[in-house]
Formats: sequence, structure tokens, C-alpha cells
Amino acid sequence: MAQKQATRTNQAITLKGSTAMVTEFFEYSVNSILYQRGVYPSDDFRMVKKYGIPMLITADESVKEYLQTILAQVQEWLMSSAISRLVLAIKSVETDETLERWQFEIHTDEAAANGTAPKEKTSTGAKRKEKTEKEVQGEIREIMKQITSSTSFLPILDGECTFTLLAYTNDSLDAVPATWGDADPHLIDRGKVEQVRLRSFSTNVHSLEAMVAYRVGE
Amino acid sequence: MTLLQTATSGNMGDVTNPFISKTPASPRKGSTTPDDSLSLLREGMGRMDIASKGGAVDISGSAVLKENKDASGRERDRFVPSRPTSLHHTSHSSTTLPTLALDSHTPDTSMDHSMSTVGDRTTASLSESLGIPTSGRRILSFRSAPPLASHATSHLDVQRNYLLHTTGSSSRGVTQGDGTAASGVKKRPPPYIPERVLDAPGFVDDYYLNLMDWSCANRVAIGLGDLAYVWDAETGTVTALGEGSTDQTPVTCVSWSNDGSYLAVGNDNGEVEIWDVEEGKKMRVMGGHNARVPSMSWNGHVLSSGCRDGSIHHHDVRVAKHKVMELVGHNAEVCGLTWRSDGQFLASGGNDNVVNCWDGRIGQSILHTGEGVPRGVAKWTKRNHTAAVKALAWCPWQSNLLATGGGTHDQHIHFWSSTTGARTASLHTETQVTSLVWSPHSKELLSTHGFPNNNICLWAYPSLGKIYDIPAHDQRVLSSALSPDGCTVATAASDENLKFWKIWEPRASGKKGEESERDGQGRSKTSVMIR
Repeated sequence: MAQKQATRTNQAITLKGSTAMVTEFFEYSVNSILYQRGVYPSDDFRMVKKYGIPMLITADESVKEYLQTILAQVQEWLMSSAISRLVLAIKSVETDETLERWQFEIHTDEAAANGTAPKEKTSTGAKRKEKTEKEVQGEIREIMKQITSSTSFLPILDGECTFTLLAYTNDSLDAVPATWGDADPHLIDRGKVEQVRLRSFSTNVHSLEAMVAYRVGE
Repeated sequence: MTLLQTATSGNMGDVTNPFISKTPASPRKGSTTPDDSLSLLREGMGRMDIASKGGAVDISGSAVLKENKDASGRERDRFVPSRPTSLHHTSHSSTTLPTLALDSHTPDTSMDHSMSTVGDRTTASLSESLGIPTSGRRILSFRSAPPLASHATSHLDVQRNYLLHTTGSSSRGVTQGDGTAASGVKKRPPPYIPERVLDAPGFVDDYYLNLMDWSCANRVAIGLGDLAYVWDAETGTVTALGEGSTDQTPVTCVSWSNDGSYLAVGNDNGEVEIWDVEEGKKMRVMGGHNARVPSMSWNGHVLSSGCRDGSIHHHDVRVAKHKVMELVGHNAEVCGLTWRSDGQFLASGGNDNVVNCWDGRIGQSILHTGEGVPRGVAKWTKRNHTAAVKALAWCPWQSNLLATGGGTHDQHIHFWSSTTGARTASLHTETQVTSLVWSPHSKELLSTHGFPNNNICLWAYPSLGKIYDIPAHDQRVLSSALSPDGCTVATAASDENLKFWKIWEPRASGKKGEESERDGQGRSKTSVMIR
């Protein structure tokens, strides 16, 4: 068992593994944002231990199912490197205005994704190869902590809010599922926006940058 | 008035009053922009330089986050981040606080400009400072909207916001005991055969009515057609209330007062009758409702009645002007109404799928200035159910726990904390929930159901494991009532049967002595009642 664990940590992260990690990151970060920003009542969430910190994920079956459906598709797009950005827009139910925009920029290392990466000859390659799952999880943990702490500077959301998940995909996408459609980018009005860059994390294949833009008062 | 004017006009006040601090004297950082206070607040979160505003004042160490809202000033504003943009993009491993990127002047190279041609030109300003090379891109979103949140109302939202924004996150949060379900549940053989079956001819098959109740004086009242009947469980005698009267109004609800000597009978005309059962005589008739009264609940001398039009009235049965309060919060028939035993809260459920919890205090709010009867507003409102909520039950051993069950399309039992309005657990039953009874002796909950099994279920709480399931009736079970000793449950169904089930033993596990003595009493009482 211990041996197996050891080999596991030494293992380089493949496209598949990286995709799984990124998807999982989305799942937890979206849940965390929905909780932190009060999109759903706090009693709809339960605590789990993840990335070495307590995370809150929704216990509401309908929300869970909704997110699973979306993230399953996102995972598929990640596998085919078709997605470049995922945006969680929080908008007011009443006015339909976008109040917050959580943006996750995804860079895919095409070479690594296709498995044609130069074998640790270049200096950067050698450096990146060393990245283990544990290290990546550490980076993710830092982002999660930032998401949690961001409630301290984000404006209070008045009134009921809902959310939309936007996927920025390549035009080359051949088959968009019928359940998905082109959408408004849900940008925040000029002059009312502020934004804060959050940390980033990277696996060998994907690197991900997080940012939050939010609407400030009248 | 004139004195005040002289003091405030001009700067004279500063001179004459030494207690007024001279605002210009206080040291201010750099510029005179109104944004200063804000920038000071955010000090340390980043580092920016301000150019062109107020003559290029450097307020290094403080970050100006806010753009000037002043429309005229906006054109002149220019914020230049003090570090090169390239640094932004690559600062992966920075251990400092989040860097702040300012928008509107950073080169906007993204596709969002072209995207915004859809109509919203202003949205193009959102900075896309990441500098992604533009390429053919599509923005896609999942077509269906996310499920609606069910927020509590009024002060609870405020409370939640307060909590959300003051404390960190993780220590709070509801941990649910799922996964442990069924593991700690001791199955036991169900009572397949009822202790007793009574005929209830003419029992109306209407989900919304509450036609059966069991008093603490061990009498069962049941509404059959136009009359309310009382069956004495001690003696087995049946009396009809108001027999021989020409009144043909169907009974819609019966409810015993807490002392068991009075029976409230609601009827189809919206009247509430109070009967003295010993004397067999109608004490008073209280009007006020415009439609039938399908639910009632007593709290001392206050009788609360729910009406088909969604209103709930509190009647003080001692006084002539009986209507002392009106509760507005439902817009459809109020079919479930239950006071908590201590009278602090009243829970109501309606055909509008709403569960409301009301403060039990009766009287005028100091905020209420209108004339007439005081109106109450729900302490919290829950819209999680997707069908009418008839089944409501307060837990006898955990006073803030309320269980509610929904109708055919909902099939869920939700558990609420009455103090916070939080949903602590949910249970899917796969059939409509018609009534709920908590066990006073053990941590168990009994639910009665309709189609297809017309069963009664016993659940363990909080594990929510099913202990047993009895196919009880031939048609849906409509009402249930608990015996005064808390052991027997009576169920009335639309198959016109009234059945008595021995569900619980009156002992508390692991306790002896005094308890067992009480047990004996309880048992003897049951046996008398059953016979």
C-alpha cells in the first residue's frame, strides 16, 4: 500500500489526471463561491475535507445535479483542449444585472497534452516535471483560501442572486450539445467594475488563473 | 435657530468652539480626492500610482481601487498600475496579497469587444487584462437556469448576511448525518395488525381537511359529514355533537383544546364552533373567515384557524371580540397548522407549497400603526416543498425541530430548525405525506402516506433510517393522531376506517425505577383504552 502511494506521488500528471484535477477544482471552487456569496442558503451546504481544508459543498440534490451536468461537459472540453475559460457570473434575480464575475482562465500546454513534450531536456521542462499532485493540491488550497477570504472585500450582495456558468470554447468545436447555447458574456457595466486577481495553479498540462471582477456601488 | 445659523455659517464655529477639530489640520495623505478615505481603507492591498488627478500625487503604499464615479471626472482619470502588465500575467508564485488590476485603460485585446456587439456596448469595458490572443471563440452556457434558492425571509437573511460577511467560512456549516443512515437503526417487527378498527362512514376523502383528533382526556373526535363525533376510548361510547340539528354544513376540521374539554369544529361556511363535550352543547360560534376552515390548532385560550383563502386567524375564545390577530403569509388554502407545545411558535403549511413559522406572541407590533386587528408576518418562510404542505409536527424532545411533509408531487419530509430557519435534513418518501407524528418516547417519527401503498412509516431520527413500513389502509391515510400516553397512533383513511396502531412502548431505554413505575401506568392506561 505504502509502495503504491509512493509510486503514485512520483507519477507525472497526465492529461487525463490533470483534467480530473481541474474539473474537481471547478466543482469545489464553484460550490465554495455559491456558499460564500450566499447564492444558496448556508444550510444547503455540508462540510467535507478537501485539499487539506474544510470545504463546503451543496447538499441540495438539484443544485448538485445541475453542477455535475455542467462540469461533465467541461471535463470533456478540457480533454479536447477546447475550453479556454470558465466564468461563474453571479447576477441579481431582480434586475438580471451581473454583480460578480469569477473567471478561471485555462491554458493548456498543447505539447504536454498531446504527450509530445520534450523529455525534460529543456530547463523549464525539467522544472515542471517535478510538480506532483501534492504540490498542485497545495496551490489549489491557496486559491480556495483566497476565495474564502475574498468575502472580506467583495461588496455585500443585496437581494436574491442566481448564477450562470459560461464556458469560453474554441470556435473549432464541432458538436455543441443541444443543452448548451451561445450566451451573453455577462460583463459588468463600464465604470462600475473592479477586479482582483487571485492566485493561480498549474498542473503539467493545464495552468489556471483565477480572477474576480465585481460591481461596485452606484 | 438664528444662533445655530451663525455658528454654522462661515468658519466662525471653528474659532469659537475649541472642541470642533479643524478638519484641514488633520494630516491627510496626498491628494484631496474624495476617494482618499477609500484608498486608505484598502491600503496595503497593492501599489498603484495615480497620474493626472490633482497634479500627480503619489500616494504610494495605498491602492486606489475606486474609480471616480463622477461622470465629469471619469474622462480625466487614469490609473496606471505601478508594475508592468507583464508582471501581472506571470505572477504565479507571489506570496503577497492579491494584486489588483484596474480596468478601463488596460489594453483590451480580448474578443469581448466584438462579443459585446450583441447590444451591450458598456460591458466591453470589463478588463480582459490577461491578454489572450484573440481567436475564434464562443461563449457557451448551459441553457437551463440553475435551481432556485430557497431563502428564509426578513431578518434571517440579514442574520445570514451578517454571518457570511463577518466570520470566515469554514467553521460554520451544517454537517449532515447522511451516510450513517440505516446503520444505527434497529429494525423491529411492525405491528401488522391494528389494535382496533372502527368504522368511519362518510369520512370525506379530502387531503386538505383535518378531520380527526385525539384529546388528552382520551377521546377521539372525528368529523363525518355534517357532524362531529366523539368516541370515548375509555368507555367505547360514541356521541354525536349537535345531533338532530337541521344544519347541513359539512365539518372540515376538528381540534381538541389542550385540556381536552372543548372541541373546536370548523365547517364549510368558515365558522368555528366551540363545543363543550361533557355537556354536549355548543358554546359559541366564531365567524370571520370567508371560506372553509380546514385546519385549527389550540394554544391555551387561543384557537388559531387556517382558512381556504390563505388567512390564519387567532381567536381568543374568552372574549366577545374573538379575532385578536390575523396572519398573512399564504395565498392558498392553509391545510396544516400546529402550535409548538410551549406556544412560542406556530407552524403553518399551505396549498401554495409554503411552510411558514410565526412568532407565537399575539398583539400589536410597535411598528404597526394601522387600525383594526394586528397582522402578523411570518418569522420565516420556506418554499422547498413542491406540493401542498399538510403534515406538520413539532418535535416533543427537541423544541426547535419541526418536520414538514409535502403532497403528491413533493414526497419529501423536511426538517427545520425553528430558531434559524435552517433545513437540517430532508427525506424522500416516494409517496405523498399526509401526516407526521413524533414519538414522545423515542427518537422516532411516524409518517402516513397516500397512493400507492397507503402505508404508515416509522423513521429513526436523526439517522433517517426506515424502521418499518406498514401497508395500513386500502386507500390513502388522511389523518393521524397520537394517544395521550404517546404509544398508540390512530389513523383515518378514505377507506372510511379508523385504525389504532400500537407503535411505541412507553419506556425510555436504559432507565429504571421511577420510569418503570410510570411505564406501568402508561401500559394500564393503554390497555384500558384499547379495550
